[in-house]
Amino acid sequence: MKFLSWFAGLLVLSMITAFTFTGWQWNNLIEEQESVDEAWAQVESQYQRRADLIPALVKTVRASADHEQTVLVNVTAQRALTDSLAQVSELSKMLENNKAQPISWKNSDGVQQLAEQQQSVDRALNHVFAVAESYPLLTASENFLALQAQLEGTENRINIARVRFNREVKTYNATLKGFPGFLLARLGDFTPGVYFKAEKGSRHAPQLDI
Amino acid sequence: MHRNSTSDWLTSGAIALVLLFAVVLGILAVRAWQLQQTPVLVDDHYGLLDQREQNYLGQYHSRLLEQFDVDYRIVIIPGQDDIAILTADLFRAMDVGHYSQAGKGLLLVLQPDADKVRLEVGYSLEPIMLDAFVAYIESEQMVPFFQKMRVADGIVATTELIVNRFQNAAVSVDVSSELWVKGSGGAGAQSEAQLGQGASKEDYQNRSFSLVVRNEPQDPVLAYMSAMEHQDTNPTLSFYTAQTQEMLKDWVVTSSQMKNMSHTYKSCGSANIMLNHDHTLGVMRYPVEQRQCSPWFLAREGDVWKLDLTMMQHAIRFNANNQWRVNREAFHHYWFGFSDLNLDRNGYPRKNNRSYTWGLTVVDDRRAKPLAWISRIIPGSRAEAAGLQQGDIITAFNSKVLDNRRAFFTQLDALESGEKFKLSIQRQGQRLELAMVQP
Repeated sequence: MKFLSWFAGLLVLSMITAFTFTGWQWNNLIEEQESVDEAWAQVESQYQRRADLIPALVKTVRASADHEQTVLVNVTAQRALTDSLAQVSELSKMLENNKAQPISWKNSDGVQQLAEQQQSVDRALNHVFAVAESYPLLTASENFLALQAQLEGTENRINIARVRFNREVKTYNATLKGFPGFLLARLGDFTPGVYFKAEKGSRHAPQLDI
Repeated sequence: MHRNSTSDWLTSGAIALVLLFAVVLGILAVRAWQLQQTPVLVDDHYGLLDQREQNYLGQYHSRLLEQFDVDYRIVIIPGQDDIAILTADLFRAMDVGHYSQAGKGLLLVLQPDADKVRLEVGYSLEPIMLDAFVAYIESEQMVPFFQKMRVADGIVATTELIVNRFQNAAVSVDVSSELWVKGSGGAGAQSEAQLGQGASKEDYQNRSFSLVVRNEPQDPVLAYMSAMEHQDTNPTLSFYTAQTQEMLKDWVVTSSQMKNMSHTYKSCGSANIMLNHDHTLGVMRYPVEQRQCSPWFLAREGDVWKLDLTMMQHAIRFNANNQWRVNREAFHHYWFGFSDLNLDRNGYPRKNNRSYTWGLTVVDDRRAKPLAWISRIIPGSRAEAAGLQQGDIITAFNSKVLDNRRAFFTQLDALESGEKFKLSIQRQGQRLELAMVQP
């Protein structure tokens, strides 16, 4: 009898412990998922911030370059600048159109597509700055330097947001794959996250022959 | 049996409660102790700053925290990790902004091994410290000092510009009420630190001024302002005293400091020039209310007036708000230029300093009985015109007995413009009463 009551007590205690532990892990997963949501929102916000700066950049560079169309700048450089500004403007319009279709971090194709789009913007902006080197007055102007500093600041914010997002995804994915995470995942809407990967070489300015 | 098990439970419960209470008390005590700790604002893991520099920077940034509620930390760290990620991580790990009531945090990280420097701006300060501004002060203010391995000076010089920014922004942006968010998101800027790479100087032999020197006392100041506007750092310019030229050879003056100075003094208005008894020294002073317009020291060398920056460095100090004060411990010959000012014990001119307009110096004498007497009257001043003389003992103000300079100046400063008053004096044993009017 005494053994039965001990056994019953132990069983009850184990059930309470298991229930508490499961509840705690469930809450953990929810919290981690929220952290990933927050980190993703930061990534999107910083990309949007960069997109908002592009029209100002295009306007400043065009206005200054038009003034500087002299013998100092050869025709090839002028054409290269016009082309790169056109490309950046087109990308800017595409980003503006895509604003209405937010991408979830749970959608791996969507994340991949966003990464590719933003890498195109990276390349286009790098190209603009590389070609702008041929315009000495433009690169010395205060407006241009201020915009350049703002864009560099935004690039850094994007970088930090992506690093933090990847860290949150790592923590979240590790919990999902562990015990009892992999069991709980089946009970709720817990999809593993996808890491944001930067293309190799995308941060370097292209070599130009102007 | 039943009674024993109940009392056992009660005893266990009481012990558990006492233990819980002790734990909570311990946690609160530790927290209170942590809050009372002096903030550590400078952390040099590299050994780049000596103890004196660390203490100086720590004190300077403590004043920034007190006056502007900004938690500005400095970390100098070995290694070559990505400085942007490192700084963002340190910002979080060190909880930069914690000492500020509004979460306003700045973190400067210097990596000598990678030769990089980054100033990270917390969320709460982003509206004021824009990326472009941070990039500008790093490249124009900090790096020129770093090139000469004057790391502490470079940081202080940059902080001065940051203070200016806060002062100018205080009118338009109330950060404390608008944005209270801890942490940072990557705002700020980074630069090549160029430690010890030597300043990049242009050949200033080609620079010249169009100023026509008339040899008036104010001419060297005008020439200096012109030099600041043209960003000429030539230490051998002719309007500097010989001692100043020697001192400037080792000085670093950045283009942003020069622009800042030129801009500040343009709004200073007109100044008065006070000369010593033999007209070989002069002090050019702006109205005392213009606290950021510090006086200029002038000296005659031969027949030419020159600017004595060496003595100014010695005699004038600035607080964290860039307001000047007189260094009361300094020994120099320019004290005549401040004798009319009512200075507090730290050398700050007191407000409502109407006594400035009288042109007299009053000192206390406590050798026999306490009294206040006039030690100096500036020739041609109101005090002289009113009939006061050097050596007069002040005995009463509006029939109220006084025996110290503080009481005299307090009552004088309290008078309205145009108000009449009576001053009782003793001169060579004779009692006199003078009727005077506050200008």
